[in-house]
Amino acid sequence: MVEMLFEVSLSGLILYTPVYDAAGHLDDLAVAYLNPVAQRLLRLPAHPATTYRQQFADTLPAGGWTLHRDAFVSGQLAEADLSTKVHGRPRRFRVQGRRAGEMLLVSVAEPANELPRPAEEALRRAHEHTVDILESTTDAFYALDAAFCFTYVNQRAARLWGRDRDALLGRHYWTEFPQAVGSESYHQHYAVLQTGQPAHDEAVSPLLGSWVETLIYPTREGGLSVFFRDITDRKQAETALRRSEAQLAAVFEALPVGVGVMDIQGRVTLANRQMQHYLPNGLAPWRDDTPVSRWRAYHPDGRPLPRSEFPGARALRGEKVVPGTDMLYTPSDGTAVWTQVSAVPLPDHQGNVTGHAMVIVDIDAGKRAKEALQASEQRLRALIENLPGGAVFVVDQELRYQLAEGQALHQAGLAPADLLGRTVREVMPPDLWQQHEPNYRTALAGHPFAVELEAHGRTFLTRGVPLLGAAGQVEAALAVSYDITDHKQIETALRCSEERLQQALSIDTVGVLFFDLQGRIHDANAAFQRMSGFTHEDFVSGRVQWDEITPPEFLDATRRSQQELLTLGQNTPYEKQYIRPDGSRWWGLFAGKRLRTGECVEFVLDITASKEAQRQLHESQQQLQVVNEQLTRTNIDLDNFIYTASHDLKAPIHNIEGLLQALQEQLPGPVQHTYAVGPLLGMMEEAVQRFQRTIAHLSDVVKLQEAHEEDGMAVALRPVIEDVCRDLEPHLAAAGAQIEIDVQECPAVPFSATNLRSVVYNLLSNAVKYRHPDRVPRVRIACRQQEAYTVLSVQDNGLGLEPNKQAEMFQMFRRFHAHVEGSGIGLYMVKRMVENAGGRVDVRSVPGEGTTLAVYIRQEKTP
Amino acid sequence: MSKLSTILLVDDDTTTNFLNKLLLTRLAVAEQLVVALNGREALATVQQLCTASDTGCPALILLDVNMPVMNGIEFLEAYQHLPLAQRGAIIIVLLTTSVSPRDLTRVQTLPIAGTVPKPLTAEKIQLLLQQHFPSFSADSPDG
Repeated sequence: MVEMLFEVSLSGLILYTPVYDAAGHLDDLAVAYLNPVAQRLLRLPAHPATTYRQQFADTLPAGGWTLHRDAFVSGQLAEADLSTKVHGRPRRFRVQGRRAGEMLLVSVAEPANELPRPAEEALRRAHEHTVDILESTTDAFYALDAAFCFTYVNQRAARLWGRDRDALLGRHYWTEFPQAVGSESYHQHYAVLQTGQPAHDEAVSPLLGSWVETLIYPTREGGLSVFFRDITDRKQAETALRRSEAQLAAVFEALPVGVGVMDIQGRVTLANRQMQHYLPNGLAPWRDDTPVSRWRAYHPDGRPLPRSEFPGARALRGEKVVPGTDMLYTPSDGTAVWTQVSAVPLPDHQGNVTGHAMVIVDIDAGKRAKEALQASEQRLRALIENLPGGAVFVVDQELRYQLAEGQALHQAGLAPADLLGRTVREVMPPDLWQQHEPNYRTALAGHPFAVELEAHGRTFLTRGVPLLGAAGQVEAALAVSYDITDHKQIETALRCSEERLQQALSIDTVGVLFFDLQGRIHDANAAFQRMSGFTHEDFVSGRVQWDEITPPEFLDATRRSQQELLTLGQNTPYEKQYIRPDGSRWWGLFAGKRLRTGECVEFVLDITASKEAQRQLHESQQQLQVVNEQLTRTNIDLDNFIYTASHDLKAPIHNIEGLLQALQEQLPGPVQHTYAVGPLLGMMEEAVQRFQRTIAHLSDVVKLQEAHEEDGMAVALRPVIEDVCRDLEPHLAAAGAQIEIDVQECPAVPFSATNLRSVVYNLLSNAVKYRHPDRVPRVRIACRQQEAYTVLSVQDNGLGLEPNKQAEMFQMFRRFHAHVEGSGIGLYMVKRMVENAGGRVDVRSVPGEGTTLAVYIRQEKTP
Repeated sequence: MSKLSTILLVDDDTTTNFLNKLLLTRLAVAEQLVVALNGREALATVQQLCTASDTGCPALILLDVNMPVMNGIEFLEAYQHLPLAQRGAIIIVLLTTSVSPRDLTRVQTLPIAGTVPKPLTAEKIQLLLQQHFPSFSADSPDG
């Protein structure tokens, strides 16, 4: 409707739309429309793509822009004469401007004095046309005078109100429509009237009850022109849009990613909260040139990415950076976070990039998981490569190596590259793949395997498992081989050692038992089972305690021994008795040692038999001692007897001798001679003397007992022999005996001088006394050193003695020959003297040939 | 020659006492010969003779060792404790058959003038008198 009005207007009319700067200040006015008159006056098209300040820059010095700006800003009518060049020629125009809603309506006319008369007429006709237009417009329209009386109401308004428009003319608005009094519209009517400023309002009409847009203009006549129309549909659409926008905004804010829009300078013009978090200073990362940037990005090779390559900068160069770049974001708290930053250019309607949109996604968890995965893979690889003496293989369904690593591989002279992608048969020698292939197939069939194989002179334990894909199907087989050669050798050595131990334990004579420090015996070998009478089960079940098999009197010793085990690690071997389950006892010799495990081991010898022997020995020794004591007593008795006999017999024989003499003196001589008294007395005297000799010999024996106690100094042997020879000279001469002395070997003899003399005397006199009647007696006296003895021997060629008599010849008063004198005491005394000094006497005799008597005299012990 | 006043013969063997008395009588060396059959009798005799008069106290005691009731050794032990003024003048000679060293050792601690092995003979008495009683030189019966 308005456009039509413009078309027919006789004045030049220009419509401007405002252009604001970023701060919201009016910066310029875009020329939106020129009506035909204005087109003609200014020689411009209806819609020139220009603004006031561009098109009419030559009016600026004369305040043309100021006029237009003020008119728009204030809403007041402004007018001035302005000059501008039209087609190079300056033209002067009368310019009137007034704001109309969001537009500035400016009329341009030649100055009044230049206005030709016909123009006024044309204006009048134009008014009439205006009325027609007002009637035919779809908007409702009414006009009021300064007293709010209707001067005009168009059909549309009357119809909306449901009133007769003619009845309203001249009527007072507020009287006709009292329900509008006090409403927003009411106040605006007054405001426009008072200020002369047009008003634009959208409100629920108090008259219609629906949304109405109202435009109120002051008229030149001091009244008001009011356009209004029902905008209910538009309002509903707007409400829906706002609700939708609010929801969108909520979603926008709630997005867990940063979303924002930046202008060409990289300044944030729109950002949700997450984005504000990322960009606290309102600048895109590529603009963040703070010394320590919060944002870092890297080339794949690790070099830092320059800011010019950041996603925002690339977007401003027209590039869509989707998907984005991984960037490390370090907020002020210092904990770096990986993000992915995407950016797209935002072009204006002419295709010029005026900014960019940006989305920042937190990928930190994912990124770190990936890094951890890579690190884990590297570790695994390092592990595999350094698997001591082992190797790891992965083969696929075709038995091709996908992975081959490990020391064993290198030791076998193979590199992973030799195996990868090739089949087992291609790589392994036949004897090996024949062993490996069935195992791999087992694993590929879904079953794990474990097998020991010899290869390259070593023993390997290989374990294999199937590797499953995401769907659970077997994709490959993994085999890990360990070099167990050393392990096997140790195992063999261990087995050998164990076998040796078992052999040692199976020994028949030594019991071996194991027990803990609480005294519980928990194992024992067969020998100890046999000794103790317990079964293997008794021990293994832990039923047998030391205390139970030990008699009470050995408990202390047992505990001491266990204490030694505990403190010293081993015990002093000791003997003790044990009780068998049947109550019988046995003796054991024990030695124990504590093992490192805290367990103890004891070795036991059954010494019952030796203990019994020891006991018997002890008994027999005791018996021997008793016998010895008896013997000693007997000896003492015997000595006493000899002494007493020699003493007590002496007195009566002396008396008899004395009495015989007294008798002889008393008997008269003739009696003695007449009756054979004399010879009888003589025989009695002889008997008495014989008796006295016997007693004298007995006394000698008694003296001998005393003599053995004197210590024997070494006596020179030869002088003693020579002295005896002199004493016996008459006998030797009578017998014509030849004496040979050979004693150089024994210069001195450790014997009592008296006894030595007695020995030599007896032996030599016997040798001559018992000479053989048919030959010249030859006697050889010799001496030699033999071991611990000095052996003095006297050898003769005399009568000799039968063997059965040889033992008797040393008995007291024993005489074998009647033809010679003898007391029967000599050899007895020799034997006694020698034996008392620790020696012995030996006789060798052959009847008819001779006798050798050897005296063994014990040599003095070295002091 | 002058004779000893009294000789005490102590022996349980009466035969021995008879023969010794016979011998001493024949030698005529003492005016009085007293015989005691054991140590106890000898002690009693000594006490009796030596308190009564000076002349009766024995100048010589010939003492046997082995005797019943109280033997020679026991006698000597008891004799030591007798309160006798003449004790120092009495010569005691032990007549022994014993060669027991045990007895000899004991005897050495006792107050005896000497020992003479049995049997007693004229020679042994002469020697004994010369040794202990030089003033009484007994004549040999034969000379």
